[in-house]
Amino acid sequence: MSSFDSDKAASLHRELHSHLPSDPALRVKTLESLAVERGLVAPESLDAWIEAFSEHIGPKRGARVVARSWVDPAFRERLLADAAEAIKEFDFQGSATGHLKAVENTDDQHNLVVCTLCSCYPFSILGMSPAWYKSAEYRSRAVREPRAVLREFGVTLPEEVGVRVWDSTAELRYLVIPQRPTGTEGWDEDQLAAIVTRNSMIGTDRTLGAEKG
Amino acid sequence: MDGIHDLGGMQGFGPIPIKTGDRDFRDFEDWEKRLYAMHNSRPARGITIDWFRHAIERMQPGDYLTFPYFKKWCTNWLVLMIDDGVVSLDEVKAGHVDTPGPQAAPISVEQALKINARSDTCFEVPSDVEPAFRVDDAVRTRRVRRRIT
Repeated sequence: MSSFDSDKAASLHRELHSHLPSDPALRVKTLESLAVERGLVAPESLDAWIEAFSEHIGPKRGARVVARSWVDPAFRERLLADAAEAIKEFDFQGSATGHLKAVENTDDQHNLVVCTLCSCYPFSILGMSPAWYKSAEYRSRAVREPRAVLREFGVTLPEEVGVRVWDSTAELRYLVIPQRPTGTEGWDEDQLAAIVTRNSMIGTDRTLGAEKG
Repeated sequence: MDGIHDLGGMQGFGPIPIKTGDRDFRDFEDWEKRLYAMHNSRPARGITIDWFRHAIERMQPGDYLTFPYFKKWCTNWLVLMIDDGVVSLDEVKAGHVDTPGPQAAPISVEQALKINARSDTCFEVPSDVEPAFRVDDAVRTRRVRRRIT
């Protein structure tokens, strides 16, 4: 069983440091070989997880939730009150959404999500996060200079628009609800979901679909 | 404790690697997908989110800052498996187990989705202890340093 011994973990990291393949693909192959030979996992199960995350669990789920919040005010209220409960209406609950907070962008307020300590992210509704979200650059700078960070993503926030940065924790994850674009009146939920980008739900995108271009 | 992982507000980092790091899971490299699948298979016993994270925080700092994300996770899983005892340090160095055991039964995509749906862990811990502080209380913070061995 796990020892929860911090210094033991550090010591094992040092031990392994020069004994593992440097190439990440070979290193992962080593891990897989050991786990399969030990009977901890079947190779076919890895294929199943890959299909689950490629075809089922991903940002399309979050986009569906956002689109619903645009067309159904009662749902939006439930989402803002307790997002972890609200996403169960879609059966989207799962990894890292046991505690989930939805934060809404408005004309004068923008929201940006980061995990400064690691990579916390609402996996079950947004899938695996993009590499930039986990980069040292994003993690270090998002809290100190969010407007500069947003400019790198092509989002220039007017001075009068405030920006609130949410630092995720192991327990609490966030979902940004972007604003519904003008020009989408009469669109149904499917059409609306199609214009919700992954980055808009992290907060590094602000102006969606119909308003673009 | 102070650690290499505590990056919030740290200065000196450059542009965010958006162009090279914007892919969704389905466009990841094969080894990245495989590692994430392995992660979801939890190949060590007694793993908690806190233990997984803390063990990563004890990586060699140079490795922590330079390894691709999933290479960190891969290295960490090997450490956690040795710590758990399901494989030995020598087996990891050799890349193979000494005596292969019975093989694990495969799971289907539907089972994977069910396992995911069940993992919406609630972290609430009931407590009748009054919080030491309230919103708007004035507090004094102290920097506590711990010797890292």
